[in-house]
Amino acid sequence: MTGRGELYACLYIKEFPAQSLLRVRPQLRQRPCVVMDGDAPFRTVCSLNGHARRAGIVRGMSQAEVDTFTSVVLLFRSRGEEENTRGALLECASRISPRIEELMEAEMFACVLDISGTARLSGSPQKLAKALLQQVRNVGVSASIAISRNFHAAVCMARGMSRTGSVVIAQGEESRVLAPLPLSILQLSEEEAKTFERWGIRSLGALAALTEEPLIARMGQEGRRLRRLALGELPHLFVPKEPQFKLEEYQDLDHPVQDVDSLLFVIRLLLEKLMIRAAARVLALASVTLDSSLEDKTTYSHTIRSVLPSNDLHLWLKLIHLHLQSYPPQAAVLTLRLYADPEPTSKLQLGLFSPQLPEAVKLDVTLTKIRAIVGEDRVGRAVLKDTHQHDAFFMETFSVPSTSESADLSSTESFLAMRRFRHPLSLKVVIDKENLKAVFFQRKRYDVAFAYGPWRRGGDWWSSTPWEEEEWDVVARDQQGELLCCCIKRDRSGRAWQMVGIYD
Amino acid sequence: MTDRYVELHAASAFSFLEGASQPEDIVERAVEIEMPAISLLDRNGLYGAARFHTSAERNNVQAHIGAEISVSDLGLRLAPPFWLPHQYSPEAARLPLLCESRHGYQNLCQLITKFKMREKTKAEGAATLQDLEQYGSGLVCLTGGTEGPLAAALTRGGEEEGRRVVAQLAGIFGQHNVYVELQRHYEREEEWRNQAALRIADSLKLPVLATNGVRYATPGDREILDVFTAIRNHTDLDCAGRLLAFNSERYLRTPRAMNRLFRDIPHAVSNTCELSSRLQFRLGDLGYEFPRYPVPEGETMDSFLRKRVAEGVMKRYGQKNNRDLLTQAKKQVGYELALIERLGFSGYFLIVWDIVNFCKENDILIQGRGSAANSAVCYSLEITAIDPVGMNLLFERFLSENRGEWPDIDLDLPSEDKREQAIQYVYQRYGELGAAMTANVITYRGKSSAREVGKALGIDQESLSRLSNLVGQWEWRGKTDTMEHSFAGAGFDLKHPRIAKYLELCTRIKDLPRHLGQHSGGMVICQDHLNSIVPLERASMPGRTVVQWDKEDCADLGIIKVDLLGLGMMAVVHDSLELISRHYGDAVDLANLPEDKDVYETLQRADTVGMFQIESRAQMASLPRNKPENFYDLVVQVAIIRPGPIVGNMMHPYIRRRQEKEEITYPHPSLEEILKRTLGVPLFQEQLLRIAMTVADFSGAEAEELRRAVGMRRSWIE
Repeated sequence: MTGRGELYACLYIKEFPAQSLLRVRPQLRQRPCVVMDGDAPFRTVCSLNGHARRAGIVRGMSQAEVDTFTSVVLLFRSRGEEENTRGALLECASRISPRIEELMEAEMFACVLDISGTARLSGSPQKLAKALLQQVRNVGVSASIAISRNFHAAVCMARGMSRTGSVVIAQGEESRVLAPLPLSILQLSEEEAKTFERWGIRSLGALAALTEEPLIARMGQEGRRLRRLALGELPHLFVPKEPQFKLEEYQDLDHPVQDVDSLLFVIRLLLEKLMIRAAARVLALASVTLDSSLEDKTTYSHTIRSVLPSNDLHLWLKLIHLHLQSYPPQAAVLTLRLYADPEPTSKLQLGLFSPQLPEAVKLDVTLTKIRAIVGEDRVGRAVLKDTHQHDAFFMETFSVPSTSESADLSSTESFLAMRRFRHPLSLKVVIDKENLKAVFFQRKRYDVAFAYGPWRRGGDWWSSTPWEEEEWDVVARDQQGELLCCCIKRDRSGRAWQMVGIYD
Repeated sequence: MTDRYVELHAASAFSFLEGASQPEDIVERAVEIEMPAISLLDRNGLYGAARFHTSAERNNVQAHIGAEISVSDLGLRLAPPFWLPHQYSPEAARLPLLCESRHGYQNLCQLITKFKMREKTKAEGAATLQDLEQYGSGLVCLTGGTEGPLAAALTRGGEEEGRRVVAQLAGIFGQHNVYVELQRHYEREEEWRNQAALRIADSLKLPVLATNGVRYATPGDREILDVFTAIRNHTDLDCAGRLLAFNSERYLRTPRAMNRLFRDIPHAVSNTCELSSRLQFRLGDLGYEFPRYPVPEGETMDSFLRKRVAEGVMKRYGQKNNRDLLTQAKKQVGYELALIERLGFSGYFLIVWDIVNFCKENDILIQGRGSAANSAVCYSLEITAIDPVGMNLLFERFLSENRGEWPDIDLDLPSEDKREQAIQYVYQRYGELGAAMTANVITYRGKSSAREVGKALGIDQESLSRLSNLVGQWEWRGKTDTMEHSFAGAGFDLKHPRIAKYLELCTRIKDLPRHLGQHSGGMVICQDHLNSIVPLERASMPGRTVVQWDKEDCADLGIIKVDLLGLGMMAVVHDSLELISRHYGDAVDLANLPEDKDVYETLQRADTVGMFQIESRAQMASLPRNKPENFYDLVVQVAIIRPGPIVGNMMHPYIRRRQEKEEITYPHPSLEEILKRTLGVPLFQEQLLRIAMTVADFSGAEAEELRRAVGMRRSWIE
């Protein structure tokens, strides 16, 4: 329905397959490019850029026909890249208005935004169109934008615009503005087109000038619908669709790429786009996943994380570079897909008296460098595992401590401290009737004065590495009276004795 | 000198996922290590006590009864310190209590019932110190191991807090009834607590007691406990971490090993024997009494029953116009009543009669079934509808003087609503604490053990469902219905160590209890307070309470149950009776159904779609061959298509003999009388009894024991 308060903006992208490919290949934009679709030898041109059109190429030409033109770049249609571009465009639109209805049209992208009530937020319709156009340009495509109080009038206008840019149709001016547009923008059926051709009706203005009743008598209700479309009066029930926010960019590489620097060049382009989209929502990239198909039919999927969410392109390129150096793909890369997990931009406030920490970004790069040298699971901080086994720990990635998380470990109780040997040292033990008599440690004999134990523990009986051990706390003295308070253990299966640690 | 020691703190698998051995296995181990007595303390209940007692009695071991009771006011049970990663969930500390006397036992039952019934739904619950004060007499309190209040207090607030808690317990239970418990599982932290406990015992002048906090019979069973721990905490063994056992030391140690382990504190071990001798209560001494039926002044229950039966005999047999049958019935009833009076069961019959009367007054069709149909008294009291005199049924199958057990009357009731009405009547009549449903112990079977052990071992879901589909859930098993076969069928490599362990664990946990359910219809009733005989708790179903023992336990301890079972077909029969009288004007008495030739002809044609009990394909296939001609033929027809006769290869010989294709022979001439009616083929359990009595000269009780052994099956559900 067209009501007083309604206002719609139609975002229309012509030559969508070509624009989707060229937005990540800026170097080709100034050359005639055509996008071929279908399987050889029946491939035909499905989309092309302005340079190609001006060179005389038209849609539907076969490859052989295109080959007759010189210096034309042949590209192959990529549904993946079109899907990414579509996502990016919907996201641009959603920044203007959350109410978006997408129109399904072959080789085109069109969506209509319900922008009623956005004047106080985005300014006048002209200003809004300009902002939307700029955002779409940032995605790397050029678009036509038409704004009208009637949904269909906006769509028809956007379809009929010969150049990219924006048009705002004032209220009541719809039929006048639409009048010069050709009938073809109404997407008539073949029969309808022939009928109008026979009648000599070629523009929307001519169609609008027809009287309604005789038209209905000849063409039925469809005739009425087309006339109202031409007048810019056809009502529409707006069905908004919530676009899913997904930070993902995809590119089919023209040639297999093995070289890391070349790969980084493409990654940089994709990253830039991801960051622009994330920044528009006041988000930053927390992790980036590289997902590639390789020439040897395998895939390469690695996730790189930053210590803090960041939109610093150089940081991410450095991290990805280091990662690629550590874990290079085993074959040349054919396709590249980048996913990013966005998170709110980092807010880090340390206490006034908390110690100075290294800059998070620099720390992250340094850690990645170290990780590349020593191994992924060997950098971080040691965290105790939930098991009865002594010394069981895993490495956790460093994180900047939050002041609120500090646990109160202070206690008035005194604890006995033990210095552990990692790894435990081997030693010899003299046993008499199951009692510990002496310990030989670091070439000295210590006679056992007191031995407390055994302390038995065991676990993982269900796994391939079950363990069981006995420990003793021993107080012993050497010949000179030097005291040794230590913890020794015996592997119950191996019968080998080891020095676990010495009590302070 | 022989080492002496009595284990006074053992828990069985009836601590539901906190113990890994059956009570019988614990007793067996006690016998093996020559331990003269042992006590069982399961978590918040006496679930395993009956089986423990029965097994101990059979093995000449003294069974001390007790329980570990969660007490909310004694703080949370011991957990690892906060700086160590762990997954312990907060749980109340558990206080081990032992019954010294019958009074103590009754108090323990009431204590458990009190905190269990305080919960609105089925839940673990926890007692308060006030509850302990109310029901503390006759009980001996131990301070517990790692699950106990002393360990928790020592860790929480040091020795001072530990002393305060122990003093509090001594205040509640009395100075002579509190023992400071010492356990040694070769754990460093435990020894620190032991030293503190010794100082506390010394300062408060309390005796110390060595126990091993047993959770399983043998060290190898620790694996089962670990699997149970993973299941209980909804995790797998790889992720359970500190929830799992520290080592394998919580088994039933020999007296020698305990003496050696506590050689520095010998009195801690000797005190176990002293305390054991103090604990005089035995579960056989329950003091259970079936409720007395209120009779008019001047009457006794026996005389009242005689009058009701005499009325019934005239009503049932009078209308048959058969003088011989009436005389025979009077004689049979006289014999039965004499036996009933001698055994003191008059009250029981009157109470069942009362329930039947209530149902009749409230338009609920009720029908006795099973062995009760063998009793002319039941028939006269309108509990059953089959004339046992006319059918020449064996009364001893129902009740025998030698057997020394209560009769078992199963009552069929129609739909759920009507049955619930009857159950609620029993609750109202005997009070919430006077009647309860019997429990049904849900144990691990093939399918459930494969599923839960698989989960604990981290086997993927897809393989688990594949395996579950292959494991049969029926009791009867074919040659290929083995776990090994199912595992191989699910694509598991049995030679792989992990899979071999999986299979082994599945086999080992089979029959161990998983949780407690509710029996479908068994109700136990008590003269005074049932809650001082056995603890009661809430069932999952609103308005229902359940005792902590299953029907076998109740039977073993002489507690009578009345089965109120639901049978959908009863509703159909009820409607039919109403419709027949409405449309044909004939009142039908199920107890006196006429023999109708047309009915038997229909049955012989196997035109039995929709007819209860004889509509299955197997029944329809055998009906034209057996050609039932009278009521007894029909009885045989229903009985023959059952797992027993089919598996026992009785069905085909009977059918062949019935069709006169095979000669009727008897294994021995003396069995002719018994097997004559079934053409020489034993089909009924009653015949088994008689065969045993004739051939092996068994007494009635021995024959019944044989029958129970042959058909023995504890309550379980997959």
